[in-house]
Amino acid sequence: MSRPAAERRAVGERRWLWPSLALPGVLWLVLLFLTPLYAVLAVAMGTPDPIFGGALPAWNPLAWDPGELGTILDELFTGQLGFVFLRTLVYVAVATFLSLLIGYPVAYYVARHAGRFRVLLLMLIIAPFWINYLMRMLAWVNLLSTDGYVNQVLLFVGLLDEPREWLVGKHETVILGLVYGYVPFLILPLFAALDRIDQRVIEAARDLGASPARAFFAVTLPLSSQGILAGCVIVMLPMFGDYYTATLLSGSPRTNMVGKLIEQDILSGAGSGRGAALTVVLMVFVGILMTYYLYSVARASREARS
Amino acid sequence: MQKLRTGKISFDVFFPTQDDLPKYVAGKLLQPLNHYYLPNLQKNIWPTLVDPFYDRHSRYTAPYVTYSTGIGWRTDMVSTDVASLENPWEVFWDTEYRGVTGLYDEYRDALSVGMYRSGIKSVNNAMPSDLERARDNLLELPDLMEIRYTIDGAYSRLPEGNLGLVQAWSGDTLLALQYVPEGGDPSVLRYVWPPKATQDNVGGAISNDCMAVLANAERPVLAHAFINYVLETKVGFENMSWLGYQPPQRSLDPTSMVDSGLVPETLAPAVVAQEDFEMGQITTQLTTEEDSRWIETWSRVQQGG
Repeated sequence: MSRPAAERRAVGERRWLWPSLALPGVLWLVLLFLTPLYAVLAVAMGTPDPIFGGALPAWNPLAWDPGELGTILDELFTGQLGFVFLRTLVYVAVATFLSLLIGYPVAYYVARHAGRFRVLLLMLIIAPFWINYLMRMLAWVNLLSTDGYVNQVLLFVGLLDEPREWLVGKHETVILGLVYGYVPFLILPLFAALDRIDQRVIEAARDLGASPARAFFAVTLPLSSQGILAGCVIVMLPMFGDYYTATLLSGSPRTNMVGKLIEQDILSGAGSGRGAALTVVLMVFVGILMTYYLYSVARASREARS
Repeated sequence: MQKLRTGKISFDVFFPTQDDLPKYVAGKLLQPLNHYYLPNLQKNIWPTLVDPFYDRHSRYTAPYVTYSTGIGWRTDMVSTDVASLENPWEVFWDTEYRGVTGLYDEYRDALSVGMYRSGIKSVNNAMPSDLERARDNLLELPDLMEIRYTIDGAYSRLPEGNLGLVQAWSGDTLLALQYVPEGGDPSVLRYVWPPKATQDNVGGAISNDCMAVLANAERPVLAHAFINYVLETKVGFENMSWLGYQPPQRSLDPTSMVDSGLVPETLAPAVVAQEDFEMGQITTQLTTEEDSRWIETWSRVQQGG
């Protein structure tokens, strides 16, 4: 056999080898993302089952009935639903910002200054995950109740004159719950990004006369921007779909997020189609926001480089 | 329901609520009961529920527990005697109790309160205009009353003192006795089922859960034996002491339950009596179209504003 033929065969084999490595991931996406997504669409475009009350999904796109989606869009643009979307957006934005404010110093400390306690501190950050989210929120219900520890401490140090009713439809309580629930998700990618920064780059900045603050803002912060981005996206996406934090910590329609409306539709008999339509609208809403966000961040970092 | 229809899960005994029964029968998910194996049904259970309107001759089900939907409150937080009001449901709009009131986070229960307030009694066949009244009434509550929609309000938040006035299932109110914190006083708890307290002038739901044998049960005879066992007076009584929910046993009535010490005298109104089922307040199934309308209205209420 001549050598060129063998080489050709090797190249041919390789042409199939690399793309085939993506196969498990593609299969995963098709099975666990695209198929369920299509099922949600089919339920949203379907009709309620006249006898059983559940959903009759319309699998054939030619049979799609956009009635439910129309109702939702109508409520969104002319009714109260738009305010619920806006409220959800504000809660998520404020909670993400606060998470970053809390998470960045923690990740910075663990990555740069924790020394031999690094592993221990990382373990402690992850430790709350060993307790069910619901249990942690129920614990907050007790802490924040009228005669709970939070009020007792605030009264003791004189920040409050009388107990505050935290659990009665307060925006700040729900945002606090979101921050508490999701901040570890933000710390971990931030830690990874900060940990990867080459120490020598920062030393070089100091050697060239930059103050610690200058070195941080000119070197560390830009180099950790990918971590910030990843962390923010990781906490924002589940926050948009959160449906229990507000229910447990407030229970008032004043603080309901979109996730709660989806949950109650889907759980109540003939509401599945409505819930699925609301899900589709939320996905488009978040999709547009995320695209814009990623695009503007990418443009900003391109400009910073040039 | 969906899981049962696909046959992915299977068990022998199933506990549907009575208003869902038509769906399960239409879906051929249940098998007819063999009364030969259920002597306790005739012997122990209220005649009304041995041949109930929703399941003539108990063809598919035996009754499990009963409950009414009324109002629970604490006398140390609410000074009004809710039971003596002309329309007890009106108390949920009494600003004196702002910040301590709660309704169920459940669309049929909560929307019904909105209708009862306006004097609409037959909520099972609510007109669109009735639902609009309910919606407008409930939309007042977030700002007026700082209302909270919870599912654990009656059995947990009321005895703990987080809430003082809640919409309550009678069974949850009796269960609440077990949730009174150490050092708490269970004698402050009260309950009223408005139809009874107002001589049938005001609405309030009443219903029951059932026991049935699934069509694909692997051990149908054992399933019957289990149902018959639960229908024993002693077993039903013991089950209630754990659960708070009351079996429709002939020998259990408000007097006997208070005498036995299972129910304190202050909560005697939370005991359901056979004749309560004859006041036209039994929850019935909604058509899919009606159900959609209720859910849409409920979503509007939860959007607030």
